[in-house]
Amino acid sequence: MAGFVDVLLRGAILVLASLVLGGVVWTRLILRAAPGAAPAPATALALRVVAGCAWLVALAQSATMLVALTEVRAGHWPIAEFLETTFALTALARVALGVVVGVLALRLARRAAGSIAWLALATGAFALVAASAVLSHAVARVESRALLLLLDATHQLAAAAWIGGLGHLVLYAGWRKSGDDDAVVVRRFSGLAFGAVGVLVVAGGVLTWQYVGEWAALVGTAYGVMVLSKVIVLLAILALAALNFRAVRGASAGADVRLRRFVEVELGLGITVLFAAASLTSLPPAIDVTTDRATVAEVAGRFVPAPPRLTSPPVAELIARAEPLMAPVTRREPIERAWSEYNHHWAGFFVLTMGLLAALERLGVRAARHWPLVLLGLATFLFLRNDPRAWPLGPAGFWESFMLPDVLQHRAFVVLIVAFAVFEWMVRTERLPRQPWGHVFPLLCAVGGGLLLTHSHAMFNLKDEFLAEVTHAPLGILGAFAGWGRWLELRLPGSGRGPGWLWTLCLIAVGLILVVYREA
Amino acid sequence: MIASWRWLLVAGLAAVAVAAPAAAHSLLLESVPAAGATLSTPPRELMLRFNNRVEKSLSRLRVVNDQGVDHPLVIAVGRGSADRLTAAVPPLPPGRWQVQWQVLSTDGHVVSGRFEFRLAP
Repeated sequence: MAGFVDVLLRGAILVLASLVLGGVVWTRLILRAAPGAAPAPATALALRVVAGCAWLVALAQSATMLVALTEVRAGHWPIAEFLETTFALTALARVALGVVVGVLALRLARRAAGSIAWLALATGAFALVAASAVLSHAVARVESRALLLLLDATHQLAAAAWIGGLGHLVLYAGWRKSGDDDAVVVRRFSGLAFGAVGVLVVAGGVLTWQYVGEWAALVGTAYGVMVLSKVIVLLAILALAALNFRAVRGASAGADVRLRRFVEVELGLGITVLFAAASLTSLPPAIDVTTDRATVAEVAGRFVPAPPRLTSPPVAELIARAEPLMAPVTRREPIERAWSEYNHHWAGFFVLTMGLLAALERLGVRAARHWPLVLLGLATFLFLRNDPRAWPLGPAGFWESFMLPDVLQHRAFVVLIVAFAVFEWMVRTERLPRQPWGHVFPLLCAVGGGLLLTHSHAMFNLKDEFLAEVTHAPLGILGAFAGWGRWLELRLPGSGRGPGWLWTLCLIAVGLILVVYREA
Repeated sequence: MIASWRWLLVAGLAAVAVAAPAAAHSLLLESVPAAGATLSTPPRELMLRFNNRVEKSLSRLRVVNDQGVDHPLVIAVGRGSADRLTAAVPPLPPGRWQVQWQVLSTDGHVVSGRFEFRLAP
């Protein structure tokens, strides 16, 4: 449970710290806020956001210390020893930086200040993000530590300037609606983003080589597959950025609205990448995983179609053979694999049915618009079968089973699915207006996709765990793409049929992958 | 546009509410005695080497057997490189012994694990 909270906090800190540094860069380089001048309304807005995010970084970083301290507690609270560790010292420094940056940003948002105050703000925001490298794999490595710290800090600074800047661009566009100088602002940001992406790609590429080491490890370890997933989502963001770049240069009619919508999607995918990065820090670097590494053939084998399981193993036999719900997992019985495959295959049939009905609706079959109701069947199926050792099938009680992160995640998924089904069905049958309720579908898809990218079962060895979950990566990516495809379809009505067919085909592809899912 | 920003915030919060745990971070690369080894004489010292630096003062080691005998070990904090834990082991009777470890890696991740060795009669 502590590892679960730690990943959440690290992901949130990455997003918030990006908004801090991105906001400072935004005000100084894009809005051109000048020392000594009274803050313009747009500058004041961005600085207030910077202040809020900096304080939230301080709060979340304090929480990470509490989580770690709770875990190392052995009868007593080893506070003195803990405060001597690199982790605690760095985390404390970031808490202090967060508080100071927040105070400075709020001060600058309220009244004019000199160049020293601006320099202090920029230095503080820079240090806040750069210090994150001291809480990453780099600091714990035995060799090449200085080089890795430098590369990691550079990678994170560039990512924060870009994704944080995107956040402020979305905020600015929403606040401003439209204005004569918007094109100038967007053109400035475009140049900055271009440079930041270049730096983060180069630093990220070298880091990847240091932590992965060889091509086979990129495919045969969880770390490698997570890096690949990050790269694929990054490429999608860059494709949108390239379209925006052309729109900014061309300034064609309607380019303004399209640019705003694409930037929203870029930001959403960027947040997914930051949470994936947080998850990456908790995985052992691929270069270290030698005995538990899967071969390319083993990974490819998980994607070879096989006939789906149409009958389930008996639950009583499964409970008799599996380990107790709360016990540490030390083995995985064949019957457990069969149970899991059966669940995935039937979930696949549900999703495939939805995808095909959605395609029919797109082709003009009106009755097919009720396809979201298929999700209620899927939610019921998953609730009953996800965790056979927990209520209602197994001996563990309803509340007791919530203590296990796997069960908690699965039930959170079920709630998301039910919410998705109800809202989307009501939208499609016009019981709810498309604005804003139609946005529930894309956002839940995007969140679910991001979640799958970081989904992990506690198994007894890394290789088994990795091979069981290797199909989650393409499912997660397809989920995120489906969500943002639908987002564009809703928010950019003149975008043609492309976004609509994108999410429909993603849904069908998810169904097909689930139907051929295998664990052995 | 403001509405879309609000929705993005909701999505972010939802992601935070349901995100998942990650796999272990520190890997045990080698140990003396090795995992699964059979020894003819009791080990006088235990050594574990990890794939990254660990905070020795906040790491834990113990050896336990299936009769409920439990020996918490004192880790030599000032000894050896930053990726190794060493500890003196009290005299152990023959049988199957399990080594249980927990480390705080330098980047703040707490990871635990275990392995077994056998002491021949």
